[in-house]
Amino acid sequence: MTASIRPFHYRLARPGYNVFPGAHPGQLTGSGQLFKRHEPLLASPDPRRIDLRASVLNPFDDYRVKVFQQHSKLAVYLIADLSASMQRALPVLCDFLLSAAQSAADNGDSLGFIGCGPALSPRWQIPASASFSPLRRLAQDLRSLQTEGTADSLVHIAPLLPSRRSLLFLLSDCHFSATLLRNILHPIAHHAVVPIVPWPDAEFRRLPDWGLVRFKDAEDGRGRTLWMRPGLKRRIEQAFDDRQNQLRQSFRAFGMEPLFMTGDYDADILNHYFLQHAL
Amino acid sequence: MNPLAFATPWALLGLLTILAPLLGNSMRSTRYPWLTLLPADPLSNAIALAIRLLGVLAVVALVLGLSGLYRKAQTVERIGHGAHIVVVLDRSNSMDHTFAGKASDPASHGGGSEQSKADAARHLLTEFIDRRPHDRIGIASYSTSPLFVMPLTENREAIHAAIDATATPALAYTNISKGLAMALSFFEHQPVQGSRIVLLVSDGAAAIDPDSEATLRTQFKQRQIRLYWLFMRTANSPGIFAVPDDPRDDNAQAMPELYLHRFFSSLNIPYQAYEAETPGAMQKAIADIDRLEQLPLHYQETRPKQDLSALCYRWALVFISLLLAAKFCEARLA
Repeated sequence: MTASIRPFHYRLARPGYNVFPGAHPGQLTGSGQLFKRHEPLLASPDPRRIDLRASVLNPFDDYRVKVFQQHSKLAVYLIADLSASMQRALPVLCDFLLSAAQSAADNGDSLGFIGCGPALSPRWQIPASASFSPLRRLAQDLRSLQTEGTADSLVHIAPLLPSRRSLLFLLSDCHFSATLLRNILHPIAHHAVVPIVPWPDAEFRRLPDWGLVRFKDAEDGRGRTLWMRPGLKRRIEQAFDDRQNQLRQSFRAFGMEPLFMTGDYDADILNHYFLQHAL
Repeated sequence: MNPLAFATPWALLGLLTILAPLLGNSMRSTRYPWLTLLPADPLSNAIALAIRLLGVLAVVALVLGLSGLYRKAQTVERIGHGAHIVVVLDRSNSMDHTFAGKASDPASHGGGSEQSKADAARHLLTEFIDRRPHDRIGIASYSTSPLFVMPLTENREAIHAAIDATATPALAYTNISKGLAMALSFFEHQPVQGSRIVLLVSDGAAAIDPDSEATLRTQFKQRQIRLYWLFMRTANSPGIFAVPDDPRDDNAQAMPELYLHRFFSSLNIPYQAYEAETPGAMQKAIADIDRLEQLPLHYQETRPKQDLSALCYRWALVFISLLLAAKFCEARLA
């Protein structure tokens, strides 16, 4: 929303398949800069691309035509967990949504949004498109959203996604069981998935050192009273670190590398991520 | 038997409010994404339980205080050393005389060596009673006819008052058999425990007619009574143990003291006679009784009704202060 939100650069290493030309390496041949192979003139009837040298050298006496790789458009989806536990992470989600919309627009890609609460609702779904304004309106709505319930509908998103390989940003705090996580990831494993896990610092690192604290579970409403002390605080941080390792292993089992965000959203984190990982 | 009762039982309806600390929580709660992630902490659980419990206890203590909890008057059974003692006081005229046989001077009443026998007896009995806190004591007196003064009781104040009441001027003659009969009637329908003592305080004796003699004989036996006779001998009067010089005087009319002593001795009960000629000798006799009669005794002590609401409020204050302390320990979360 603010001017400080910058786009990030994303790329896919493996060529995608999309008939529309775009900015990403594609499997289709057509207009492009990168030479791919020679084809007979009959297969790609473009006399402008006839390679005389290759034609002369060809023992089968037909014309060879240079074929170039056509960069293709990419469908980008942002899949957001809208369960009650995400309340604190909503600002990160909104910033990321705007940043991703900007990045997709820069690349000429289309961006779709699927928000998953206890059930899928059309209110929080925007089909992949290149237009910016619905996303901006959605970001405004999200800022004032009171999240509630679980994120069980995350397991039902596969039918809403294109069957071709697309880039998915899965933004969820992953506060659910490992079984549910597996059920969510399995149907979408053939896409290029970037799991983004927003864990606000306030929830585990910035707890008070001493005093009585009462926590109420955002999703099932259970309460717990804690007598905070440095030892317990260390154990809580340790528990979050363990959980982080466990999540990392679960995601890696599906060939995904999670991105943990403990602070505010920053586009550089994603730039760095895409420089490190080839999807 | 439930020893507790309430002055305003309907206020106990307030106990329904213990549901509040049980179901609700007094602390400000913060939304937390996933509690399962937090490590188990027994200390925190114990503190949470204690806070809940304190809330319940504070409400219970307040409600019990409001409903006016009190402990009913109750009797507690105790075991001590002592006896059931019936003091039989001679109220005949001669008791108002001094040991020297003179009528006591009202001006020097109660003091000096010239006190009357009744005064001396009263004084010593008061001391005697103060020394024996667990005894049940009854008082009877007699002159021409027996006077019922005080049944067997452990109430010290009543006994003292009864003894002081014998300070009124004495009258008429000595009818010892009726006095003893009344003293024995005190033990009727009383549990047999400790020792039962009749303490006869007199300065003279009288002949006992054969009818009453037989009745007394059986009753002394039946009721297992020990008899102490404190004989306050006036100077120059015949004592209990005096043997008559003249055989003609050896009859009940002439020497009633001797014959009464013989009668008591023939009862076959523990019997002891003391002949006191001065207040000092009398004191020695009473100390003797005090020393001898120390059998174990069951007795009932009555405790008065006790209001417990102040105690309840005090506990409520303690609980509420602890809750308040817990409230102040609450940490502010970002």
